[in-house]
Amino acid sequence: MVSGAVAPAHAQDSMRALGGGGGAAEDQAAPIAPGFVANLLADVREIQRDLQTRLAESVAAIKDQTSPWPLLVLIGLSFAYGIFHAAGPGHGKIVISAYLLAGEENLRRGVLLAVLAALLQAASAIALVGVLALVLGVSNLATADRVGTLEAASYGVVALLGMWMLWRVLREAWAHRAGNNHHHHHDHGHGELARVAGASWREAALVVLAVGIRPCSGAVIVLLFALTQGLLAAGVLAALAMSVGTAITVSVLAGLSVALRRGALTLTSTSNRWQTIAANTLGIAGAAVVTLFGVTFFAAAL
Amino acid sequence: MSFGARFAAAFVFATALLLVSGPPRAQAHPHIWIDAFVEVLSDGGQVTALRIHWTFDPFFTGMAAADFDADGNAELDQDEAAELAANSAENLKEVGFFTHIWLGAEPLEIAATQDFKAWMADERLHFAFTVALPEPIDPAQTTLAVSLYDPTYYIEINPDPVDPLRFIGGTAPCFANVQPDPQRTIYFGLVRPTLMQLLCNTS
Repeated sequence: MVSGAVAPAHAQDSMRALGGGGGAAEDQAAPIAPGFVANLLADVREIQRDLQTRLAESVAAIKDQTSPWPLLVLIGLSFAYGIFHAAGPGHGKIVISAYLLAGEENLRRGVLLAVLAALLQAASAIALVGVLALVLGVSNLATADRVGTLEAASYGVVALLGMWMLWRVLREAWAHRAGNNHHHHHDHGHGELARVAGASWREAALVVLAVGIRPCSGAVIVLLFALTQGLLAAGVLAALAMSVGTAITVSVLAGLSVALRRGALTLTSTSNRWQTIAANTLGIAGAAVVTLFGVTFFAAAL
Repeated sequence: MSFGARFAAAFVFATALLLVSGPPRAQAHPHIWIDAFVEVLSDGGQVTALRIHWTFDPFFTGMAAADFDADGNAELDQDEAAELAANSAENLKEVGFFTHIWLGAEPLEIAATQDFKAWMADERLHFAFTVALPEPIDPAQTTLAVSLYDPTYYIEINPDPVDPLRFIGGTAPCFANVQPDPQRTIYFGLVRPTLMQLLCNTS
């Protein structure tokens, strides 16, 4: 698989990429989304397809012209593509939202987390294409296929993260409860709550790694296409612009999650007991979602 | 070395190992787009085969053409296109050529195709291949239905919006009934593949 050889060696991989793995059909699956959601997502896919065609044209235009204009068009289109592309699965929206809901009350930190994860996805795409296609000479289609491998790794880390969160949240909720029973002190405010369900920078780094190790598949395709046109630098710029776009979409959801948590804690702020219950509920629910998500998708990827 | 650093090192090593040696993985939501139409081939009013036509999006075109450009002249020459077609004809067997055919209520198992061709035109990669029916059918007696889709939705196949099902050489008055499949959905129930039925007047 890893060689600079020509087509036949990679044909299997190539067509498997085309075949998307040939997974089992879910022919009889009943619709789970209401019509308007399906329509909205269909519109997003339509826009995405249109943007992808324009992206390809703009890359070709860079090759043909000497003015910087087509490059600027490519960067602008990539940015727009990123915003819409992130509406699809695989950009860490669920994991980041659930994590922030579980224990982040600082809006700036929440958004920073989303932005770093999106940038790492671009870096991962650049590294994947750079190492496999450029250095090792793996075929384009086989390289695009490898996104799925990193995706599986990402799910694995998400599962570990979720289990760690669960264990920590449950342990601290228990310790907190025991402490309350023994000492009867009710004077703790946000500082104490942050300890119950709050995040450490190490944990935040694990979230960024878990989500970011999976390269943005849109970026991989643009990079590979740019490479076939001999325009690697333009591809790298496009991948970075795309990640800024995905960062915006994911940041909006991250902001909503932080706001939701803060709202819940503010609503219950008149009672320490209820505030603790709210914080613990969000913490446990968020950790459970991250765990379930990671375990389910990791198992499916094996 | 701290636990965190050891974990990170082990993770990077395991991932790198997987990347160069592990099996490829499927991913969802469309990354490849195909425009398609179906020709219904007939003989004396009996349907004998279907010829499926695909046109790939510019990204897939560029990547596949570069992969199979053996002599590196930035063109997909005839022999290179033939190589690509031969590989595709073999590997698409695994996924039933993303072609789903029903004769009446009976799904047709597609084991192989004939005349698998690949070529470049208008800067797009094109495929065409023929699926022969086990025996000719009378379209007025047996309703022929075709749906082109990738169940994993890695690829989105869009039938021609104007004329997706073309009946050539028919004697019976037939028309194509094209609609979102009322029975089947893919992609978490969000997408209904297009179902194309050949309906013929029995009188």
